[in-house]
Amino acid sequence: MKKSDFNNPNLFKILFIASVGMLLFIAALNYRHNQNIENSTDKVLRIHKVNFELEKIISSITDAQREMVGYLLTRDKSFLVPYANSQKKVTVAFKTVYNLTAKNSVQQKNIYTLATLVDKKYSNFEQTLVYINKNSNYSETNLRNKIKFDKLIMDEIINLAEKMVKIENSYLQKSNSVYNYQLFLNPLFSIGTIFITLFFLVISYIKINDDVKILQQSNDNLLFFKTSNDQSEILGGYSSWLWNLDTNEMTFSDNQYRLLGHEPQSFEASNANFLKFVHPDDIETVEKIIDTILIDEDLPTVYYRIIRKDTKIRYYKSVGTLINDRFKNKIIIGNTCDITDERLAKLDVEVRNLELEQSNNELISFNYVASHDLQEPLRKIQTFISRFSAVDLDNLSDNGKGYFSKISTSIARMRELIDDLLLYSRTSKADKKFELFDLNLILERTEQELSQIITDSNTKIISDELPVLEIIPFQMQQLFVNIIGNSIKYAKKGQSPIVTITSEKINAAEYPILIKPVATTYYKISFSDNGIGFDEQYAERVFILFNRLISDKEYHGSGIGLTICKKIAENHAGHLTAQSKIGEGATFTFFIPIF
Amino acid sequence: MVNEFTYIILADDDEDDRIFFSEAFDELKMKTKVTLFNDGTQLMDYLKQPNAILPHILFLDLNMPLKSGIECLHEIKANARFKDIAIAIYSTSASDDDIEATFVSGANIYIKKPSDFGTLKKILKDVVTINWHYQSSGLNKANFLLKI
Repeated sequence: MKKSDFNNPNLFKILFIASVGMLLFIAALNYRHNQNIENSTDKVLRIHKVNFELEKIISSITDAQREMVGYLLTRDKSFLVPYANSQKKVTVAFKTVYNLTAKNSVQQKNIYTLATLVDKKYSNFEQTLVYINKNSNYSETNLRNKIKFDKLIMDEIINLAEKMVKIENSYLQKSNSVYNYQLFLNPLFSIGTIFITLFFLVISYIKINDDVKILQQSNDNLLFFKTSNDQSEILGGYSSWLWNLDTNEMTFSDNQYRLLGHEPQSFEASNANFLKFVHPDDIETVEKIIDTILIDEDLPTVYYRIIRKDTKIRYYKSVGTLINDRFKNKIIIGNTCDITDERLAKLDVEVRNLELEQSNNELISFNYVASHDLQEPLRKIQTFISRFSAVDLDNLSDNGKGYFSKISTSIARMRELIDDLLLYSRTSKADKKFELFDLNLILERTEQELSQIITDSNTKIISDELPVLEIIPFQMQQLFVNIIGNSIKYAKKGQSPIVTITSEKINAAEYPILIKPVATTYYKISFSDNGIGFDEQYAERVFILFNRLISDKEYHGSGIGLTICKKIAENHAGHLTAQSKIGEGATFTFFIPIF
Repeated sequence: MVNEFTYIILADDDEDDRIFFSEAFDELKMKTKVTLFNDGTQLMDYLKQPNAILPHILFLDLNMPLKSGIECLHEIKANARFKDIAIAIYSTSASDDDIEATFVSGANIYIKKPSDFGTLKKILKDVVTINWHYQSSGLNKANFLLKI
């Protein structure tokens, strides 16, 4: 999910404000436009009215004139009635025009002039009328003059009226052009803004649509995760819960209910309801932890027991993390796991381990105590034998001397066995102190320890330069002593023993005999002799406790020496093998890992 | 010094060992006076008497009832009056733990009880004729365990 695409509320705000602004602008424009149109209409109406009133004035005057002419020709007074009316009409018309053109000084002036002219004309009418009625001596010429004068005024009136109409018409034209201009411009503006607004709206729509798609996809994903999580919870035996620390509301996942032995969502999720399940012995721990949560706002891993609906005790482990949601609420997201099986298995293993350790310790101490305590009476028997043979042996018969010698040998053999057994039990003891030690020094000490028999048997020891290794020195010396001692012990009659020691670094992978190598490289230290050897098929048996391949009395031994060596090799995480052929000497190979 | 006796004490709960010990000294015919105690309590009771003749060499068995050899060793080393007594551990065991513990606690020599009477005599002769001042000053773990 692309977060940047989705989480951009600012863009929507900007688009929304722009759209609202545009719409308000259009509304204002339209209002003004309507206002303009109204104004223009008023103006046109007024102009038309002015023109109409002017026409009315002209026509009234013309009527009056025509009536006058009719009177002059007929002397019928009935002609004079409209004449009187016309004057009234003209006065009203003048008033109207005057009012209509109140804001136009030019037209007001014109009206004034026109009114003067009209007054002049009417007074001329009057004079003419008086002249006709009172003066019997009127002359044709005089009358003609009067009528001529009247015609002149009339012409002037018409001219002026026409001029005024022209002026008004010019206004009309001007007003019309402004009106038309507005009529042309306004829609352009409106359409423009409508298009821009539409554009914004379309962008918003597309954006919202995209976001809705992402939201839907996220919703689908959430649903998928929720389903998957529900299933995992069932499989894994765990549950999840939410705890809003601000509102103290809790939500349990379905499996939380199942873990408690209930149907999903079968009771209200709350702290109090949960605590009802906690084992009485653990309730204090859990309550303390809840206090910790409220103070530290974090839930460390906590182990406790609950009693399920079916009264079975189960072991739980819970852990939680504090998060803030977008309303700044503090919410603990917790997970609880039923660890009963794991716990019981672990307890079982612990018990078994303890038993094993105990029996092992008992075995070792039995071994140790047995061999140690056996030494005591044995030592005394030997001391008494030495006392007896020094003082009273000569008093025995030859037979007796023979038996006594056999007793002595048997005791010595028993002592050897017990010594070796003690050594073996010590080798098995757990206290192993490893230190970096030079194997050449070990060999040197071995030669010292065996110096007597080496000299007696005229043994030759040929050795490579040996490495310095992390070893338990006294055990390693034991191993050297036992192996080299064996080579000397099992030498061919009449032949000086030769022991050859070789040392090389090897790759563990090339030696399948190292079944589970603990390191990639090992040191391979081989001890080869020229002794009597043994049958290869018994190679593994030489390492078994009390197992001897040779019953010949000439080669006496306890059958423990090589077992000890094997043990020592194991103590060093190494491996000891034997190869031989009867009559062709034996090779003991010690593999020791290099860490 | 020539005519003076060497005073020797052995504390050992084993009757046979006490017999071997005193017989060995009888046969050695050295100018020694051997006193035997059956356990650690008896030994310490004797030593704590103000007029007790303190031994030149004290042979201590480790495994004794009531009071073990190592307990006696600690008590002796804690008391300045006994600072001149040379202490020889005389035990059946030669376990590393015992050797380590007695060495650290200030014993002078460690003897593993031999299984041959002749060897026993040789050991006792050697121990009595050791120049103890020399042995004490050159004390180290390598020569602590007596090897015959």
